[in-house]
Amino acid sequence: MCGYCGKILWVDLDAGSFKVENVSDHVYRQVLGGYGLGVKILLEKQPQGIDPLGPDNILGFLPGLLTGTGAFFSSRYMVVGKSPLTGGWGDANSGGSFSPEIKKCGFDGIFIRGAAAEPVYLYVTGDKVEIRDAGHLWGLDTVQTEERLAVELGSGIKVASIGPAGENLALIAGIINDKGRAAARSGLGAVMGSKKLKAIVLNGSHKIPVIDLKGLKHINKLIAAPIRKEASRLERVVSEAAQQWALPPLLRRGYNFKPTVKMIVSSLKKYGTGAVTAVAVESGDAPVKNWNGIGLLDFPWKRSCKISDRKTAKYFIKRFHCANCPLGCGAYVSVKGSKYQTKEAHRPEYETAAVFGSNLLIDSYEAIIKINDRCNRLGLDTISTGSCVAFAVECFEKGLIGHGDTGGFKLSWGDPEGVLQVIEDIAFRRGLGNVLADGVARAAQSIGGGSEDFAIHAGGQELPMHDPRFQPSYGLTYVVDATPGRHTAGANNYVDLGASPLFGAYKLNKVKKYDYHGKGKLQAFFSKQFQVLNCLGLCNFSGFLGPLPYGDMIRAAAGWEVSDDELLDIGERVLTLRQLFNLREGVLPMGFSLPDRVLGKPPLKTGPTSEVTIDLETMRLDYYKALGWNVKGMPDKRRCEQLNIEVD
Amino acid sequence: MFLAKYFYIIRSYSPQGSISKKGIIEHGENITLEEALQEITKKAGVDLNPFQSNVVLLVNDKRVDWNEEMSMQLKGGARLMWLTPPFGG
Repeated sequence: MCGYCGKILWVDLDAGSFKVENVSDHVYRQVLGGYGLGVKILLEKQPQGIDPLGPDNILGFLPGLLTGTGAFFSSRYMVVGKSPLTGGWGDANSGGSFSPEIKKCGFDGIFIRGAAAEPVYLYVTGDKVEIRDAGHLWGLDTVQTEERLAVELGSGIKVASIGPAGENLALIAGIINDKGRAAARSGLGAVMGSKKLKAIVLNGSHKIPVIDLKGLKHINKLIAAPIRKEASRLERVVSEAAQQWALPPLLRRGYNFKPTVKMIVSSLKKYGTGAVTAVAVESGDAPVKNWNGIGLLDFPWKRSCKISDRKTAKYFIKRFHCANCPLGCGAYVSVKGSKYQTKEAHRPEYETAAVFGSNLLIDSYEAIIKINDRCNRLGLDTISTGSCVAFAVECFEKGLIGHGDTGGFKLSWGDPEGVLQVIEDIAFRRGLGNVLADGVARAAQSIGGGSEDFAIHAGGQELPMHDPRFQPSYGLTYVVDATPGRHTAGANNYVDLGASPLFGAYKLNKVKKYDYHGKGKLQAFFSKQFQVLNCLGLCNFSGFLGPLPYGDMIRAAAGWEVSDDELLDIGERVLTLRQLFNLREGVLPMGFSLPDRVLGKPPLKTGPTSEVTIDLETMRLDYYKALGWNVKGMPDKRRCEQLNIEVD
Repeated sequence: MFLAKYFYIIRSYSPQGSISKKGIIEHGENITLEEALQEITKKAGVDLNPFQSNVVLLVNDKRVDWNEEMSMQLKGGARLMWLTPPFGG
């Protein structure tokens, strides 16, 4: 057995016991690993209809099939469980250094069931598994937790932990590793909190054998080539000179703003995902003012540039690479000599900069660094938290809540002070924070007064910072994936950008941006490919490099021959299993929808998405049809059988 | 011949960071959108190829669909905006 361990670890917190289960080779060939393995296990082992915050919910931590093999971009892990936020399938995905350590401990997944009576942490090494008292860690933030554990157990450990938000069962709580990389979505931090499990601590020493190390290294070399080369010297000179108006017009002609692999790689290395925040706001991709504003008017270029690319550089300390990543889009930043003083912390990602920036009209990057660090330390999902705060600001503006609800402070657009206060209150479930901790959908039910209209979510989960009015296929992703409201769950912007497949020599029909027929078919194709990416444990950003030889990577790591068509079938199998989990739990696909504001009903009158109204249902039906599902999104029984999925 | 002014803004990004270029082209009345882009391309020295996927074009702060409106007549004083879409994140 190469490339994977063939074993999963079961921990029962009720009994305080553990056991190791062997997994047959056949299973890996069916679902690879990651959340593919996760959903297969949960469908088999988790009873139907359980309380997501009860002891029967199984919480799984799974690296991908390629994780730990040394394959580039392969250091993602997925947390899975029943989501307390959506009531259905929940998964969350994070990078850093935690994922390979699961394999180094000898497991392809760690599954937790039951709940401890008192706070505990799980300590796993290559030789032993221990459930240890975490009374002294309970109440600490995630960074303090990692630091305390490192003092006690040594600096070689890898930790995934919850902060006060997870402990207090905030439904928008995530799980944090590497002091600020987050498996943030689906509220799985609250599930961990419900089990009184403060942290999982790993310190493995197993080596993962691969079948063809030389071959894998060769593939890595090919993958890294465009990253290492970046832009040629000549290109850089011409590009920089053209921007500075230093070249005569004839020489300047031909410089094209179309993003190339080199440009993307270079931007990501330098500024991370925040390289394009200003352009995203200006072009209508990034939501503004709780999805009701327009960048050009409400958060104009001069302001959005303050939280984007070059303006963020002065806070840079050093780069952060996930394990086995040749790109390194992360970084540490700090703020000195300001009221937002922050010691070494992770640089805010685009999502965070946008949700606390344009969506709340905050143009202080120092404040956003502080807010990001507080969310990471408290163990909060920044996307959901920022969305909840924007919702609260609009409620305050409309008079639906007041000083009495906030504990005396004012909430207003562009004010970081109120935001910082509210996120603490969310994590500790104080006052208004207690309402917002359940997510915008439930908060709107509680506050009422028409606030449901501007509670921005799909199926209970807050939307990421990509506006479907700008790229309609995002809207489709938000409602058809088993975890609603996810920008990494399916096609992302590939459908609208007409990009090439992630793998394989498939020829795709391009569909115009605001044509809705045919888009669902493309989405179905890309969704299958993204499932494969996730099950392999690969980073979505590997897709920026163009089609990668995933089949060859699997062959080199595990020794299997797997065709591109077979990989697509695996993707479809996993996608279908995740959907079947929701159906089993009574979460119906047609129940996922988008607020009118997000659909452009009524459309904006000005700006880059003016006069756009999204035809979500045409895309949705097209998607179901492409998968052979019925109009209600129910998978076809015969197709399930072909995919070796047992259905009742 | 009377020359009308047309204002343009290009907003994009490069490996070095965000880019914003503003300028004015002068042309007789009744320039089409296609002709205006050609003029701007000459003046700004950037290849404003509207067939790039997903590019955003605004005329007087309203979105226009290039494929349908390349022959659109611009009036003097028109404000044209070219936005390169972000690449994700």
